[in-house]
Amino acid sequence: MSEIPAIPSIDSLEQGDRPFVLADAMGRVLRINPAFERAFGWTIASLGGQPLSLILPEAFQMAHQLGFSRFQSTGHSKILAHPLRLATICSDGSTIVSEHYIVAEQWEGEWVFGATLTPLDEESPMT
Amino acid sequence: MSEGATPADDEVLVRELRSTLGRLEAALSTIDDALVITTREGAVQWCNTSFEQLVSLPRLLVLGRPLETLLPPQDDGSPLLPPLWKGQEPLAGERFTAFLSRDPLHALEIECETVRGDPSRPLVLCLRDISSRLTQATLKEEVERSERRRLQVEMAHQQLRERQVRLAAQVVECPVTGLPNRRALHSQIARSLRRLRNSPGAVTLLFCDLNGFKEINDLYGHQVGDELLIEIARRLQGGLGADEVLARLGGDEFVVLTTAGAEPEGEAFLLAERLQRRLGEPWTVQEAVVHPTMSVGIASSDDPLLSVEELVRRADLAMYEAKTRRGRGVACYNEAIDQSVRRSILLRRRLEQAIEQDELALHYQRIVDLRDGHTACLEALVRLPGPDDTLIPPGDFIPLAERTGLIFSLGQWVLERVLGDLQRHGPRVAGCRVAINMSPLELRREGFAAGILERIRRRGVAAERLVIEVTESMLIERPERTSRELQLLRDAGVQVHLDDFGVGYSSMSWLARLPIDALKIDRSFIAEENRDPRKARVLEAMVHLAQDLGLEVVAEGIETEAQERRMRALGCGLGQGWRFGRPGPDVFESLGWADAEVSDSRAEQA
Repeated sequence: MSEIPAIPSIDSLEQGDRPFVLADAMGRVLRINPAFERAFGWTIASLGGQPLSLILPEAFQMAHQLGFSRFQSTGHSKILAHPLRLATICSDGSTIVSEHYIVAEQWEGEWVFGATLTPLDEESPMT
Repeated sequence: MSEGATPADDEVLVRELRSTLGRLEAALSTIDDALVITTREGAVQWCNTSFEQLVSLPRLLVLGRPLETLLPPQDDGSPLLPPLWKGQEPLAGERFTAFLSRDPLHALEIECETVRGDPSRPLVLCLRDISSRLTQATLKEEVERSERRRLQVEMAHQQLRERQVRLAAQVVECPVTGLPNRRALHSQIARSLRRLRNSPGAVTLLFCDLNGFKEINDLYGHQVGDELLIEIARRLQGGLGADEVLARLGGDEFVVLTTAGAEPEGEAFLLAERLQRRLGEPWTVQEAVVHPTMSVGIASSDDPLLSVEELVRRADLAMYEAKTRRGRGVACYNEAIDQSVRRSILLRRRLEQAIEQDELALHYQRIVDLRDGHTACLEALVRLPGPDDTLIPPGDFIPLAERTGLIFSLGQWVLERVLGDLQRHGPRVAGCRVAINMSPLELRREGFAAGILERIRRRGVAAERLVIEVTESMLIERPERTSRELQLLRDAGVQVHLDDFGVGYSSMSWLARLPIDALKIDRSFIAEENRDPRKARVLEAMVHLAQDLGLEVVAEGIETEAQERRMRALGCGLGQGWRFGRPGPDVFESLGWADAEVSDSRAEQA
């Protein structure tokens, strides 16, 4: 019988070599790592404190805001802790299909969200 | 940040709004109605769980895609949604019903709204499953809407058809031959009849119908058929004078209109014969030579009040009569023809009905062995019951069956019935065969022998019990193919007898090559043998020749004891006629045990 793999912590995601972004309960970007900067062109100076929706395509923004709100209101989400193929917006406005893996944790009573965004071959279908 | 508010205040406000939005989003995910928000152009921005279920896709695969590509079509294949925008105005405030399936009923009510305060004009759609609460009135309304749509389509078709008819009405020329067509001919006849009011004379029609044209079409295809029609038109036209009009009615029917002559019918008769001669010149097609022939019906009238339709009908009836005549194939209309054709139509209906409803009767007549008197064979004779328990003579309905193609159904009925009777009574009268008469048309049919052998096999009857009677003319017309088919039957054990021998045109040397087992000498030789010494000599010669060729001889039409003695003395092995019994429905069934024993002992001796 196989065991259900444990959900990795935000720390472990941040310490890995994949592009990483950390956001607070308000959905503002707190940190990004150098791999993220290299992959998507953003710097912490340009993205820090900005809404996370900046890196999401326009078609996903309403659903993102409502889903984000719903999670904070009910603690229920369908997208946490499993890989999602989504488009990510780069600093130059271009789009890169990437695998998003999002984890939520409470730090001192506040939700924080850490995610790795691994660029994929563009031929891969989005799911 | 709002004026006078601190960042901390804004954050509190955002948190409160998020909490409210989150609860609303959660609430919307619990309802049964499918909700979807799209951009002005219809790209999905958000949807609830019921919408995901409706389109069978998770939300992440729906976002950004055009709404119309996600929704299933209606049961009639039409899109679920009409266009979302009518010009600059969205479909806001509209409510309509769509059917995903009618049985079982799966109906959606769709509402569309626009967010007016938002300059990007997003659309909000609600798709509600109303299958369980669809009222009778809504269904009726939907049925009426469908009916209106159907009527609109039908009306459009009707208008199109009328236009086609109007256009066709302007055509007065046959597209194949370039001759005047039926419409043009009618106008010409009408004009000619009108002229009779002022200048007495006659309007005469020659209704010409090609013989065997269908066979040519079937054998060589329609293109060759069309080429032949063009050639026919050329030949007929070449035989006509300047005042005579040739038209093609359609198919293989041509009509000549003439107004010349003091003796209209007599002159038309001569014209018909002249046209037949011109037509009969050989015509080569794909290395085969065809001699076209036609039957001509003539109708003439000096009555200006006679309708065009009536004159054409009379010529057509006369043509029909001409087809039934052997020889020249020309007939002039008279009232007797009218009655005769009517009788033919009634007879045809009676025959069709008798075949369909199994009302035909099968009689058998004995063919006896003249040496010991036992029944060697039975000839099966089909009978058509007429009104008042009468029987319509075969001489009336068999030619009609051959003309109309009913002969095939008739032949199959006889074969099935004979095989059934052989199954039932055959074992009791071992050695006794049953003979069936075959029409030349049946014999010419592809797979004739194989068809008979297959039926024999299915019935489990010994092929040796069956005899096929054919006439000389069949063997003369297509000797090679016919002989091949008959030989197939003989190889399987079926006997072949040559019927009505002596009245045809067979040469004696040719007789030796025929695939036959017996000759049936025509009754006229037996009837006149003692009155006409020359016929008596011919009869003797035929019997001796058959014996020399190893063929069995059957003398037909034996009515008296003297005839029986004479035939026996001549060496005829078998005899048939009233002397031994008339045909009857119970002959096979009542064939006696004593007869069977004779037959068995004979079979053993053989």
